[in-house]
Amino acid sequence: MNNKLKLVVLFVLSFALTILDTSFFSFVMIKEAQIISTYLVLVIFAIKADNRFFEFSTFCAVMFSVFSSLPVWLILVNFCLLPSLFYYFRQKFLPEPSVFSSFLYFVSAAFFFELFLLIYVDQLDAYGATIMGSFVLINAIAGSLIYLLQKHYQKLIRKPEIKL
Amino acid sequence: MKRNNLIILSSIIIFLLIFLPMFSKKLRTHAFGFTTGMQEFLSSTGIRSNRTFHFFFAVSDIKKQNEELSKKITELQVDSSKISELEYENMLLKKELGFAEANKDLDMIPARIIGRDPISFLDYVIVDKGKDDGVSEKDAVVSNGALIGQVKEAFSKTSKITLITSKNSTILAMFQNSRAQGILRGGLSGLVLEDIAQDFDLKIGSNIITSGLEGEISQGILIGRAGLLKSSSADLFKAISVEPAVDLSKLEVVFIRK
Repeated sequence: MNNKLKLVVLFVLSFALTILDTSFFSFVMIKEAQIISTYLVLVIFAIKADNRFFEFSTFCAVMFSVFSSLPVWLILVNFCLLPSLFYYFRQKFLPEPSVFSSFLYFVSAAFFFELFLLIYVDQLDAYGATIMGSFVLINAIAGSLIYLLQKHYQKLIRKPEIKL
Repeated sequence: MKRNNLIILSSIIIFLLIFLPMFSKKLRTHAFGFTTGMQEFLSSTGIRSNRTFHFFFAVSDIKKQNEELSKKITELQVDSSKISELEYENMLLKKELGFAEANKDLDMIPARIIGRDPISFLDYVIVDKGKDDGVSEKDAVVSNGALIGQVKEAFSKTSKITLITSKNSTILAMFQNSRAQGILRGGLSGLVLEDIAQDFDLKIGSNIITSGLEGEISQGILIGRAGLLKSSSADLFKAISVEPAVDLSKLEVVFIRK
């Protein structure tokens, strides 16, 4: 796949995920928390240390600026700065993430994402903590599942290549 | 981090910070217009999934709710007969005084919720009616006769509504009986009516309605019922929690009041 086509694919992916968050996951609330699929896929890009991570992160930030009411600074923190830190840690300290360590990545990624949101809505209290708990749990489970599925299908795709 | 990546990232950040706020309205109009169909399909699927998911968790509560509702129905039937009498009396009095029917000329635009903010606790919803249908910014939005929000942005085919529970929502409201006025603010932990003068006696369960002082929202729209007192006697003003009349998490169709 050439570079331009890859960029188009990433753009479409970020667009599709944002629409999915806006119109589907925002209606499926579990214990007052929702899945943010765009962010989870972005964390997967960071965990995999994908060389297209920064482009995808940028597309996600642009999509959220259009479709969300979050202020631009918060979008930049949550969709550019925070995942970039995970990308950095992954490259420096954890070359091969296991299932457990990837779960920890998702837990901490969801924790910080929600923490900044709670700071923005000024809700750092007991009620905010309960929302934080369910948000972290739901998103860490969902993120790990997506990550495992992605790994599984990647293996399936690569298998025939090895045989050849 | 590669130098190229840093350049891309920083240039996009500069672009976002400088240019996006300038073009956001136009960009959003096109983006929401382009995605209306997709959002309608996905939101209806999301609502159905949510209903199925919650049904399994709610079975144990349904029996209890059923008993409570049966009791309420009996009470409401009694109230209803009283209201019919009062309505008749009211109509006669209005005729005598020459008043026009208050809500006769109100335009109501029915709209379906097709999306929410990706961060759902920001409490913004997107509806499938916009400027082309006569919606304008700051219009009041009601559901089952109760206020649920206000139009924040009106695009050509869609509109963004700030729910009353949003952190960014402030509405001038008052107690229906005592006419004690205050400012209704939203937040993650619920609605609070603040800045009420200390000399008013606040009754739990009283109706809270719009005061109409801000101009865009007319007076007398039901918002909810007064809950627990949130302030102490030492505070300068009183504050009380408000239970919304409508469950805002289950909204599907709303009406925009012109």
